[in-house]
Amino acid sequence: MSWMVQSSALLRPLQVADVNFLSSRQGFGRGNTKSNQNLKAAAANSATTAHPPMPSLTNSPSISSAYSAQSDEIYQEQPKKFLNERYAKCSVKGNFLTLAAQPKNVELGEWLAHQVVEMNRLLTGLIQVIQEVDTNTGTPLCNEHSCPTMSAGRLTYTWLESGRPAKIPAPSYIVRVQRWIVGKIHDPNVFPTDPPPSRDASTFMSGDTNGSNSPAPGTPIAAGPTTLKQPLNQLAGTSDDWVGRSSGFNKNFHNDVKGIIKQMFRCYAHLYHNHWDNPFWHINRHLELNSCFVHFMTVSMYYDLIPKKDMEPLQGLVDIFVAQGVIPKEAVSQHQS
Amino acid sequence: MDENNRLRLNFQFDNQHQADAANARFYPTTPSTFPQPIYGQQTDQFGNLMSPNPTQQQGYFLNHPYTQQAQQYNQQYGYQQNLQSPQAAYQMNARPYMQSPNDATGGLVQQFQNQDLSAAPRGGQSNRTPSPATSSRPRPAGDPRQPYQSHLAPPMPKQVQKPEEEEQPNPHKYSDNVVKRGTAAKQLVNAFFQENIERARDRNARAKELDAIVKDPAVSDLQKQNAINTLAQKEATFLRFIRTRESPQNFQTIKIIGKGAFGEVKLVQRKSDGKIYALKSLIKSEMFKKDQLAHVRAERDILADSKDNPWLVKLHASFQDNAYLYMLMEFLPGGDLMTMLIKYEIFSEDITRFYMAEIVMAIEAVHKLGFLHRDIKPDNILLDRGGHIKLTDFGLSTGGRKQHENSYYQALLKSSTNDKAGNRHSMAFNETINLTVSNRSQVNTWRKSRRHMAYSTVGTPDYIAPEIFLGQGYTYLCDWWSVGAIMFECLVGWPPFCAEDTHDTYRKIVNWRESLYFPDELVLGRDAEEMIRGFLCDANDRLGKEGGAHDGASQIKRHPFFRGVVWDQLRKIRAPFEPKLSSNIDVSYFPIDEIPQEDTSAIHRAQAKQTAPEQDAEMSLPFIGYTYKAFNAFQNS
Repeated sequence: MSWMVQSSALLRPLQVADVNFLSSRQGFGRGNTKSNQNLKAAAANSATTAHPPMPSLTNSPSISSAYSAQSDEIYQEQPKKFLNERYAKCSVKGNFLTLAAQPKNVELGEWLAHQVVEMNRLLTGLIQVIQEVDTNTGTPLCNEHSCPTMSAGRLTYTWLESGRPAKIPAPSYIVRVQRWIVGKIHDPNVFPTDPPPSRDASTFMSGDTNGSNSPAPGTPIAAGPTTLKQPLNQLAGTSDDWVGRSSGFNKNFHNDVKGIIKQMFRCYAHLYHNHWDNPFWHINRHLELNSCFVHFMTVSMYYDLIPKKDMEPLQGLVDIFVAQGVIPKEAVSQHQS
Repeated sequence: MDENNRLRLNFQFDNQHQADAANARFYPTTPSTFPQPIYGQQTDQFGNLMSPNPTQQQGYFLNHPYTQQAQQYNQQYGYQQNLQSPQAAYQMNARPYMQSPNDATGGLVQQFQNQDLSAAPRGGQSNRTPSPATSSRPRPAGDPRQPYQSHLAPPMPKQVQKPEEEEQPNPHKYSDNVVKRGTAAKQLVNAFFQENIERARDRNARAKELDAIVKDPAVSDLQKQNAINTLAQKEATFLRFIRTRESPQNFQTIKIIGKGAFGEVKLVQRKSDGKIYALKSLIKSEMFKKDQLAHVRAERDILADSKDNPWLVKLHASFQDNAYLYMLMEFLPGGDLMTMLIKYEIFSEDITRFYMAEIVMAIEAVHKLGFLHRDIKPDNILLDRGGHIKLTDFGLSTGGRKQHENSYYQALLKSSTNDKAGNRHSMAFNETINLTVSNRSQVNTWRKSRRHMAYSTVGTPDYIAPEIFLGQGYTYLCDWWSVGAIMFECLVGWPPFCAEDTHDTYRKIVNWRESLYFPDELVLGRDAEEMIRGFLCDANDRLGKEGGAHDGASQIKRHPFFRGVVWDQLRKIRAPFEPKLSSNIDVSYFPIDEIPQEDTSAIHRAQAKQTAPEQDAEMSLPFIGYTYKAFNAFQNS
């Protein structure tokens, strides 16, 4: 506790900048009131739709989000150093689309499954840092006292417990999310691992591997904005075809992926808002955190896996990375929902 | 000191650029701006953080280093711009993000970088007032004017009051294990990006191959479609294979075909598809104790790098659990050259020529990959189905960096003959053999005992070059010495410096001038003897020195002993000994009788469970990035 007081005093120089930043952001239509409404709307509609069923737990991650007791004013006085450009850099340089874009000879469902599993591996590595028990204190950095709720700035995420959204401590929330995601990933009905069904020419999806007239064979950005936009939105919605169908993924796969991405985003949001400086910045691992987050956002936006309204807690950071061009333009232009 | 460090890291960084540029040329389909882990910078900062004197951390914000860092960014930026052009050219529809420098985003990036420069004077040691252009102020995205404004020193609404109190990173506020977790996360992230970049490259190469087929007018449409389908199938299978958690439970043990101090090699069958592999398992705790981590890492790296090299044993996957590291390799049913030598005692010159020629090719391949093997010996030369050789056991291979056994060998050399008994014990070599070269029966006793030696911690020193023992540094030439020693053994029947105990072997090798002796009763061909002497000599005079690490083999191939060898056809001719196999799990070429078959894994597993929880296996610091999967792992094995 004493550390908190001390650090906010030390951080004063940055406050000014941050308040400025927040107020200027309001000019961009992401003001507090508006996002407030968005989120309420989100809570209302998503609770009925993309509700991830739990394989191993009775409770499911709630889609609802609620404001914590903190008022906006108090919130604004807490400077967010992760929004400081000096720190908004990655340990990895280059075009992140390289690793995100669907390769030419790979079906989209197969590719999204791969991305989710790999991104979960990264996130797990980061979360383990705040789950490690500090031998000086006997508790992990993310514990019930430091993080009594799963919060990210003004937002507090709740977990559905016996049908009701409940505020549970962040460490419990994160562990539940991890178990839920791993349960999905290791469920062969959701993420099949047996060798894929052999495909004859007739079952090929258009635009999948269409041979010679494709402009850039196998380059990571092979799927152009125009071709990608329409299958993604439509395939998910129509009943006769869906993402991953030709590779044997089930109908709900796309929604499962979106659900996992949503929960992973919440973990990132908590990591940034509550643990960016403590410990990541102090142990000089904030650049790695950024690399993972940028890759995660590139994939999530490029494949339109996360609604914009859900990005609120880290929108400022996303804006910075977009402006820097670190999150590629293509990811921004593909991001519809 | 700090200054030098930074400079060096900057240079390193530049080298990395050059390497990337080279790669970009090599893979024309690959966007040249692959994300690249920036090790230099990280180490740099971490070094600062970990410095014992916390005041040094101020240095991070001092003018000079920071400016350098900014220059580094600029270089980097320039680099990215440069390398984007070839890609845009390659792609028919150049994408908008391949922006010209005038492009809005590109411009923004540039301004951001400038912003960085202006931040340089912040928080110096002196009491100077901070620059008003607090670059740290975040700006909204999409507003192109904003950066300009702050770059041109905008007035700050309020004066920053005590900039020197700005918080400094302090890793010491956490216990060491937390910091270690952070390091583990960093390694995980680096490994993730490296691995996925490599996969993207390989995938692009495969797509390019397919494209060539598709564009080939001579190929029928049906064949084209088949090629497309086959590759799609393979790519999908590979992605699923990556997603599948590999574990020893996926395999059924058929026989234990090798056992050593660090683990064992088993012939296994994958339960799901019935495919046959050799599964090498290494006990983590033993590796720790014996300081073998660098070795196992080197082995995994070289095999992962070598991909489809015909001269090296194929590594299909590497994985781990708490107790073991696993390497899933192709099963070579022909056994090894050691077993062959035990069986036949002596080879004719023609047969010797065949094996030597193949060994030369294999070592050349290792050297071309940038590794030294350092432990070439008959036990590590395996025979495949057709009787052709493949090298294995790269545990001692290095990329030319570590020399860490030197101290070990030095200690052995210096230890007095008085503690021979104890030493012998540690070598698991208990039979005392009074060996004289002319005594055949005793040579045979030695021959039998050598298998024990092979399974012991240190292995046999018989084939190791003197310069390795002497600790004066060594080069790729040490592998050619080993070839000479093996050739001697093939023709003579025992290794040139064999002795009743390891100590004497060391001494004989170091004093090779006196101890190298060709038995009178055997007449070797002139070329053969000359070649052996060409290998078993001072590194400066050794055959293979001409041409260096990458072309040393050329000189050897020209040696009169190899006259008539068609080097690029070697693997296609019939081998002198072709294994006669009854099935694909025939282990008759392995000394199964001499290997205890009981399963001891439960003990190690139980021990490991006490120390670390299961989920941590992948994340325990020294083993991060060990897990690996090869694209062709599941095909035609």
